[in-house]
Amino acid sequence: MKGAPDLSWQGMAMGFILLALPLLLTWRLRLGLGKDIVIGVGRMTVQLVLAGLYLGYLFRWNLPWLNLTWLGVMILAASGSVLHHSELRWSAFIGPALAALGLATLVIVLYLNAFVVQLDDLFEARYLIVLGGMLLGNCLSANIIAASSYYKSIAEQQSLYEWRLGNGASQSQALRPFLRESLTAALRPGVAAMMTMGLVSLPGMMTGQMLGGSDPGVAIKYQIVIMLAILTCTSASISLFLFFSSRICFDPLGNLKTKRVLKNPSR
Amino acid sequence: MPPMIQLREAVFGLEDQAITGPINLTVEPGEKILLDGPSGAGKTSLLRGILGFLPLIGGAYLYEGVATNKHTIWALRQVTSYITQELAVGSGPVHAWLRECLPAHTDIHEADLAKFHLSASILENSLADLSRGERQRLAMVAGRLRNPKLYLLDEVTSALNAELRRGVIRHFSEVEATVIVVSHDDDWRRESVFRQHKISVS
Repeated sequence: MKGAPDLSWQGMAMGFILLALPLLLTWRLRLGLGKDIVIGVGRMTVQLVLAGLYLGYLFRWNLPWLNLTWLGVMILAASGSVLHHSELRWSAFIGPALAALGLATLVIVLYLNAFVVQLDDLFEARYLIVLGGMLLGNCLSANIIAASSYYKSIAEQQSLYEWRLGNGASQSQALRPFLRESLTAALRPGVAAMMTMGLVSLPGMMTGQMLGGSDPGVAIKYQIVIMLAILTCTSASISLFLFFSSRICFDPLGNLKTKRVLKNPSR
Repeated sequence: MPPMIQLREAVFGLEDQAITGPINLTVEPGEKILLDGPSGAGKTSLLRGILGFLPLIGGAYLYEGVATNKHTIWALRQVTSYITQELAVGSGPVHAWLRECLPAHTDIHEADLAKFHLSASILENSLADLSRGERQRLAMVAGRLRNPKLYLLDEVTSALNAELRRGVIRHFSEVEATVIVVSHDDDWRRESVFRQHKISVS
């Protein structure tokens, strides 16, 4: 497999020159984004350089326990990110988020490695970490949307929830409309993205693989499988997340512990 | 037979903050009670307390002679129809909603709807298009079809005209089940079956 040619320092510098246009735009139109653009580009660069470094080592050493540990670190970061960007309290949700994202990602990555890519070494860094990261990155936002909207709408529509319980519904029956609503909201963007995939956008992973010298026929196969895996991982992690967290978020009488659950329990 | 519900100096509240005053109330099976008292006295909170949505933070609350715990509360909800004033029932077709809130294989007959002056065609409507009064009556249809032992009714006649209101009140005065009503409508007071129970401000 012939890889993409390395980029020279001059080449990279030419890349950075492209920044001039957005910066010029924000300066002329006083968008006030100049500082953010510079910081954003700076962070992106430093973080990717670091990622390049540690991925280089991980790939070279390729130790199963280290690869798994690294996947664990990514899952921890992902869980933290889900909670940071949501209105859910860290203390109640970090455990369930870790367990849900961890379980869903790990099972699906190992499934891909074993049955789809059919690797001899299931814990090979190039697949475990890259595919794992890909799954995590793509089901993050769906988890944020689902969990926030689920608990927020139960809190906001408390009277509907209580009405259902007060008419003999079991807790899971009373929660079903909320579950249905939040799962739909979370899964819809991913499904919509699949509708136009390859027409409107060329997915990043496929592009990268082709730049790296892969045959487009091979690249699309990976892309198709990863899209399927993302959808599965999203559904699985959300369901697990809501399932694990419900044990903490409701009292034995089925009442939502609003203050324990939401950062700003208004109303 | 023990009273269905017994409250002795019962205080319902959240996190040690009392929301109702101490309440003394004994409800025999089949009895009809109209809760009386100024608004803000905690009549709605009392219904929510009976259903376990507001924890008991003082006094005693017995259901069928047993001090309530999570088992008795879930058991009580099983046999209750709780009907509230402003029912945020959501959207979608009426028949799907009814299916979902009723036990499986419950048949819905035209007569069940006619009992509350609704026509069968309403089943095909969307919930969002119903008036408040229609929603209230629909909730009563669903509540009655569950054949409960206890009705907890919170301002269920507020959106009904005088004729419909009297029909609803007559219906609940004749049911076999126990009925506890919160309402500002004087028509309930005129129905002598209902024992008025005064709730005072805490």
